[in-house]
Amino acid sequence: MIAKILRNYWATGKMGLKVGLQYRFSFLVTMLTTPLALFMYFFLWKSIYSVTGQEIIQGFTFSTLIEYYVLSMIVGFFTWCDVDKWISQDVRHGRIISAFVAPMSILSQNLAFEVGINALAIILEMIPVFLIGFVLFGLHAAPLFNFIMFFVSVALAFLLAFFISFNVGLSSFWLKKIDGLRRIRRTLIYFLSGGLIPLSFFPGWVQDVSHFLPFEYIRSVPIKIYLADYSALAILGQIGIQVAWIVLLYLLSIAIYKRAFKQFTGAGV
Amino acid sequence: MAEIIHVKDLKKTFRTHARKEGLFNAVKSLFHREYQTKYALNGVSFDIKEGEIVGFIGPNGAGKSTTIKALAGVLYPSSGTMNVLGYTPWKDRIKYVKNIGVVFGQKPQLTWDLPPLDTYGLNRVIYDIPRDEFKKRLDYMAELLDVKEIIKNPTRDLSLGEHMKCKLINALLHNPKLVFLDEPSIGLDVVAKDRMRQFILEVNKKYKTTFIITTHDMGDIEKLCKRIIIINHGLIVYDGLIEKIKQKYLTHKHLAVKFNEKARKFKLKGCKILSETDCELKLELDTHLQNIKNAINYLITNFDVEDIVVEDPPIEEIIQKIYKENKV
Repeated sequence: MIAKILRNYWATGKMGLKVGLQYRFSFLVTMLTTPLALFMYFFLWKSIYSVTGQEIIQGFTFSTLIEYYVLSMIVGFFTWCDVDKWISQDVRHGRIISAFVAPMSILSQNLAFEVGINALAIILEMIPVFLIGFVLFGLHAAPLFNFIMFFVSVALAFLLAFFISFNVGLSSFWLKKIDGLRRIRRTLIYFLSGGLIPLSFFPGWVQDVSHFLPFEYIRSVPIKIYLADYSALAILGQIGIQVAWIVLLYLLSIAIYKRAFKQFTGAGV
Repeated sequence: MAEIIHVKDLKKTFRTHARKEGLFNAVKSLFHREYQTKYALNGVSFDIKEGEIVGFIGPNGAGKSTTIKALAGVLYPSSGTMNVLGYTPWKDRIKYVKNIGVVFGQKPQLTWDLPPLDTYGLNRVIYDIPRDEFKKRLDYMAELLDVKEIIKNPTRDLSLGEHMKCKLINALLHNPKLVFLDEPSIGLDVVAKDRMRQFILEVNKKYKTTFIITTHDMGDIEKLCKRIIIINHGLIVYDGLIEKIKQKYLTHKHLAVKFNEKARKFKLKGCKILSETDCELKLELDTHLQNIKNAINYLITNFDVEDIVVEDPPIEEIIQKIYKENKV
């Protein structure tokens, strides 16, 4: 049973990978241009630090902050997930019907495909950015335990991002066009995961509320694990919270899916 | 042959919001929407036996696609029962769909950016098709449909007809017992249509595959189906053999008459002139009022006739008649 599921996932994931490879040129361009953003952050924060004359801003020295941005970019490769876009397009153009007649759950089809697509980005982009980070931006190698846990946490962060996006995508069964919701989803994740600036730059109450939301577990938490901001025990605690959020969002997606399917009319599609 | 589909009193309603035209009403609909309940299916019942090829026809919006979707397990009906191959399609969707194949003529079903061969490979895994069987069936079908090379090109580069043939293979690779074809001949030229029909007949004969076809192309119906189900306003208005329909509704014959002289006006009971040119007449004969023998006799004795062709009116006309009769 599990072997069968894994074989299905492997075959579907490979399709995602192949689709990614079809657009080699676009991938090459992304691969070459993405790291440029790091230079922008570097010079922006360099001038901020020199103007304020402070060594430490919100708990970050200049060099740690740059490490933060390098890691943030790497986590971003893993957790980038547009499955809501695919689902809403499928629903609006009627392709969802083809997904319904395949002997795999809609969730599995999307998850496996997304893993496949992201795998390519991870291989082609993560390694160069790690190298650039080490050579140009003073990224330190993390202790082995943190390094391993970073990847565990990042994998969970991907699932978390996936389920948020998947649930937003399911809303298209009612709303048809979900561009607005998707924008909200992206903005919330961008700000509250610590993608734009570290969460410690926000007011205290935002940080307090944020602990009870899933977003910081998508980016901020894995980065802090790498930067050894937590004790070993606290790392396990954070990973536990990630797992709890995933389970919660997974159960939610099952409930939403059931209702979505029941009221799906397929009219006009 | 055993019955593999039982459908009883199937109903599906859905809500749609109606809005009057104009910008004002568009803005108004942001705040207040009026909903209408529509009946897509109004209590549909039928049985289908293994190995049948059944045509589903009906005017646009009659409910045939909705029926097919419910049969394919992608739709949750409002009420009614259904048993297909021992499953309730919408409840055991994943287990059930392994046994069926579906072609939606108007939907992309193959991964757009990749060659069909890649989608087939994916299906080999998720449908658990043994490798040698997969190869055998793929070669057989690709040969029959003449797409051996085409399946290696990305789907987005295929023509409409090639795409349709590739979808047909996709739906049949796992040797399903039951296949749904929703408008399979859309976009096909005459040669391709013929090839596809031959293909369906051959698969039906060889594997006893049951086919359910919705189409607006009466050629599909006449070439493939012995039995048709006509659906209108969410209700079945006819379910039976095509031959029976012809007997019941074929009250008219069409006569194409060629003369060696200029056609003159004439009057004959039960005979209507459909069109006329200098030396040719197209006539419609009501066989209740006038039998054919008399009509031909009359023509031959009164005119210098070169040729007479007697035909049944095309099945389209019969279907139109049935649609009209059922207009409430």
